[in-house]
Amino acid sequence: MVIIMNENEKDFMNQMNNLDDFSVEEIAEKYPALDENAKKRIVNKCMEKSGFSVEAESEYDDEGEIVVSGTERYNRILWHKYTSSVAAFIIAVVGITSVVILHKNLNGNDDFEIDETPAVSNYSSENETSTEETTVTTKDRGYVAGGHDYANDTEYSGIIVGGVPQTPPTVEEPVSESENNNSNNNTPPAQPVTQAPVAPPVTEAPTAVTEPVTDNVQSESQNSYLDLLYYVELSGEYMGFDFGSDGSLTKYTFDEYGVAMDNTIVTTTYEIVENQFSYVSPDGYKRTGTIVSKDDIGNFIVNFDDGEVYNFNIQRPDFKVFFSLSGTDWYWVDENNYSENLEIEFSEDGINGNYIIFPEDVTTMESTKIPFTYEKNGYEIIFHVKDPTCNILHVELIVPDGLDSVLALENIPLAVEYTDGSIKYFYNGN
Amino acid sequence: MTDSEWEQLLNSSPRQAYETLIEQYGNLVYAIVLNKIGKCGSKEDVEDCVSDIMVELLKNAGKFSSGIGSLKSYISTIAKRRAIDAFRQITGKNNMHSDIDDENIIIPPASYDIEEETEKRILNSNLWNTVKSLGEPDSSIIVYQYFYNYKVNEIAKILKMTSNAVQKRSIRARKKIGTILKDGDYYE
Repeated sequence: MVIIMNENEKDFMNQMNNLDDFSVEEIAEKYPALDENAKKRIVNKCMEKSGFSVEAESEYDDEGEIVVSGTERYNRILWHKYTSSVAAFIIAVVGITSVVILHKNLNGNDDFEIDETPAVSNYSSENETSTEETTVTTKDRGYVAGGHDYANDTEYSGIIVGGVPQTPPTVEEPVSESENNNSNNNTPPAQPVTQAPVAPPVTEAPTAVTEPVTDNVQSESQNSYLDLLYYVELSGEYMGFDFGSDGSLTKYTFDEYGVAMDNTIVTTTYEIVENQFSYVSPDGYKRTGTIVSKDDIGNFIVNFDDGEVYNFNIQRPDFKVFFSLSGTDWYWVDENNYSENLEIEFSEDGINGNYIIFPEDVTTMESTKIPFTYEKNGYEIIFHVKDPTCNILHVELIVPDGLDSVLALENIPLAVEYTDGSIKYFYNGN
Repeated sequence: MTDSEWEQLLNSSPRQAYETLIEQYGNLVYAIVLNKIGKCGSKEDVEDCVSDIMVELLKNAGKFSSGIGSLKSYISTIAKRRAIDAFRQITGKNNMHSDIDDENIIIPPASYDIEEETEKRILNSNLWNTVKSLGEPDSSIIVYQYFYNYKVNEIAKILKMTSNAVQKRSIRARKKIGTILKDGDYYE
């Protein structure tokens, strides 16, 4: 998250760094800033400056360890860890991608080797009679590396065909068994297979040339709440899908609190034509399905042609009702009005209706009284202290019959899902 | 630990003395130093200055007598003096390597305007009272963000909140501070 400090902030910071002695003492007492690592660093510096060996008295902490004078412990800077992780991740992705591509190519050559004899012999025998084959291999020339015209090398023409598995032909061929065995694991098992041509069907090579799709996977780390995206449960975990207007698709993974931990921007395309939903992944894999259900909120269900069903949910269905409130928190009931009484409003239109007013004494509630339960109109609100030192409360809301679940995040609307499937939103924050 | 007990410890084990000293007064010294050089120095400069102060305290342990006042006041005084020295050193060093037109460089004033400085101190004292009046966790957020210069994600970790929540609260808190100070609640 990049924070740009404006002039007001700078001014504010200058003022905060020019406090009187009494205020500074108070801050030091109430808000200690030195953690254990900082203390150790300072002690070591003190020892060095005093002329003592840094390890001179370390036996208090490290009894039995071999002490080496003239060295000091290196406390790794925290951001190095994250940078290293990101770098390692990128290297891993690049490595895996390379291995996969290499593997694919090798598999293609293996195919050729297996079928080498019949392929060459077939071609040799047919070459004299067929003119179509020459045309086909000339079209394929664009894929051949190095600009060498392999098409004219009769003995290598088999390699041209078998060695370019990435080229997605527009004509789907019956898949041979050897190809099935070599299909790569990184493509979903049920995808509609568009196979590279194998050696024998040279005459049925693609009639239209499609550029190989570049794998434009970029990764970046971020840690933030997301305002709007679709959640789909995949293998027991929720994955976020954000469909951009430019056709980009962003996938997010989440931590246990629903905070997006990283996202992977995948350059791809998607399309909705009437009830048909389709998208193309970077490896050229196209998936299509039928939208079988769509509600007013924006949730939709897609039955993919491969048999899988994705529920694209605008809210994460398994989310618990936890949002932070404190004695000085403001809870917005509409855009312009807020209340310090921690007031939540439930109504059909989100403006007027029955109120659940949190009791005034929430602000002075002691941790010994936690969890504190408050009931009104069938609603049950349970307060849990998250951190007694800063008086932040976690609030759990149990709703009366007629409401299935309540979904909330701090920075997105509080959503109440009714038994009839409809969802109402209540806004927290401006 | 009483002042006399403290004196005894200083003379026994240096490391333990430093550890105890920093445990008890480290945060105070750190805050004092940060208040003086936080705007112009790096985190390393601040820690360096804190260690200088601790070394000086240990070297001059014999000079302190409980008769001249509390050890806390003594340490505060030493810390302030050392921090001012560090401020002069850092700003001098920065000036050598920086463009004179750079607005971010803090040049020590040629003449020290006592009246203006006093007025500033009163204003900043009011600011601190206002920050305190925000209540938690907003006060903590403001202190960690604008006094200790912590990043939002660091604060979020300390206060066990989300970064987004910290950011939002910080904005609201500053708005509120602005409103209170503008209304003159603390100028009465």
